[in-house]
Amino acid sequence: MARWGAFICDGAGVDAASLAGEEVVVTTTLPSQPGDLACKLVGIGTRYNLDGGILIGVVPELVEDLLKDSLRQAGLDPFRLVLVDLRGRDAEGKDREIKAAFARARHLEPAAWAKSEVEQRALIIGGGAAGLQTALSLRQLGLPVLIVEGEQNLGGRLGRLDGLFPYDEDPKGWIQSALEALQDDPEVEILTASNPLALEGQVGDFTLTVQTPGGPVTRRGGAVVLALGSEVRWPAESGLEPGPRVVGLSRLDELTRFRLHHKKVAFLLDLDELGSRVGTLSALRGALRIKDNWGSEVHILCRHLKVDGKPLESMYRKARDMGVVFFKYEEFPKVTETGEKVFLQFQDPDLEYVVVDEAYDLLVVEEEILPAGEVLTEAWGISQPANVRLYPVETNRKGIYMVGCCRDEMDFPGAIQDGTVAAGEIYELLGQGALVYEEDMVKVQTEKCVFCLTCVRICPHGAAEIDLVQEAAFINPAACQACGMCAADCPAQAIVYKAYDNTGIMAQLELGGR
Amino acid sequence: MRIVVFCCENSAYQAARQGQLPAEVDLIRLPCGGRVEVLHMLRAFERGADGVLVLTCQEDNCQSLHGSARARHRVEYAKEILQEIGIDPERLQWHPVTSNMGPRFRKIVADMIEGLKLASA
Repeated sequence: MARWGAFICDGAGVDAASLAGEEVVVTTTLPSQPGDLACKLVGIGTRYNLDGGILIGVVPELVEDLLKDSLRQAGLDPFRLVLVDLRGRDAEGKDREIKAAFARARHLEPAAWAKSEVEQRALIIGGGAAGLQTALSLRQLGLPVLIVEGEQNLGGRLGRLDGLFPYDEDPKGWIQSALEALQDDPEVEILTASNPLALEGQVGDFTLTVQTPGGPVTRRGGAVVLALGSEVRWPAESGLEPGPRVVGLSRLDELTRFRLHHKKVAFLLDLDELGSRVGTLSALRGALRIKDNWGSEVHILCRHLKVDGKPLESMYRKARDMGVVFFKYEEFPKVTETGEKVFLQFQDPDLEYVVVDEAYDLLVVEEEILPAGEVLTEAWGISQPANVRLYPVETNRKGIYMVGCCRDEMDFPGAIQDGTVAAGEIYELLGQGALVYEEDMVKVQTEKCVFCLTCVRICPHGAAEIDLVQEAAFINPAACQACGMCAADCPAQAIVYKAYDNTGIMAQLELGGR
Repeated sequence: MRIVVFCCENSAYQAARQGQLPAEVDLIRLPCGGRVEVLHMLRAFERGADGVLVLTCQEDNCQSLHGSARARHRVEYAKEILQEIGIDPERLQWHPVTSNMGPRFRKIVADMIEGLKLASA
């Protein structure tokens, strides 16, 4: 029979005598300070050789993780610590919470812990700013890396920029110093002109197949970083055609490199309703540069100017000080083009909708910035939605991260920050050289499994796999994030989630009405 | 009266702890809204619940991406069953609640209690 202890926090307002009917071997009062609580729990748990404990009191969620960690480190089973939080309950409510907790606890099976070695290498797909920064930070933390880059040279889009105004960083210099740090390092492998073909495995042991100029190669690693960058798309639905007088914002750098001279230049932003902050940043940067290089007259047309980022507001003010004129539009401007000039006709709500009619020598149009590599992420079942619980670089799959412009549009400092954050998370995951997880936490009973693969389809974390030998589904314990969705949806009721199994949930309902 | 509240531990379970709970409420903690089964909801009614609430995360904030949406779908299905067996489907409700929405949690519970009192009067 299982040996349970009941721990009542002081201040819980529960009388130990009220637990007399329950099967416990020790009842004790504990201080509710988290640190003391953890020590006492471990001490008493070990002394009385307990199989589990019911902790009754005011136990905030934050303390729960600390307690479970302490128990695990002391060799006790954290999943058999049932917390009864009594905040907000009256005497009757307290009594029912405690009864429900005991009902659930009686059905809890002990956990079995497993430890598996991991590949410490991180597989980085994409050698642009975000990918390179991830590699640099991981090397500082001592983990080996592989960088796969589709182009001949590393650097991605950063390598095609002249400057990163308003930042002082010189793009080519930054790439050069990154290369110097990485290329002679024996723990760094760089595959250029290479593309990923397939990704197999789970956290701690992925296998990536890469098409290199010399043929396909495979590499193993414990974590995968997608730094796929972004693609620039011409906004064709606006009806505008690129030409000598109409150019995309991304081409402005090469244009301003020449000694061409345009007397009057317009920037047209926010072609899709929302527009982007990166677009505004590039336009401000371009406008200032044109003012500097050519001394032209510059107009910026937008729906809403986005100045809610660190350099944006100051750049906007600087542009105004230099004589850049800002217009707002609601209806998309009417654009007509002759060989010499581009005419824009629009109404500015802040100018009482008076019709503005201007002729320009050059029209610079904001393009769409789309995440690159969506074919790849879709094929591999990886998603990074704008979900606060995954923000910023985690994905739905454990051990796979997305950094830089492939997860959200961002400028250079954003990409650098992403790389640093991802490296930190990977170090936390793989730094110890092993993963510790609970085996059979969510288990498929192979004799009941009808191999319908519902779990494989619905698992949001890509942890449900196909076991062809057993002809059954298999929940990979290292990748499983314990949501229990498969257990709820399994038509054959073949999946058991130990900590939240049906028996435990039903036992709480058995308390009946009052 | 008994109201069984299935709570996602990431959101509603924390919201539940931010104020005084009516004595009628029994909380059932789940790791994710996606864990709740139609069977659990029906069993709650079978064991004397007058009302059942399934309270999960906002749909685009679910840690398991679509756990909250699945909970909502299952509640819709269970409501159809309740209708067929002659139990007012309004006795079963799904609502999204985030972890900092203590007042909203209490309002949902209070509204249900009031609705049930009206129904039995």
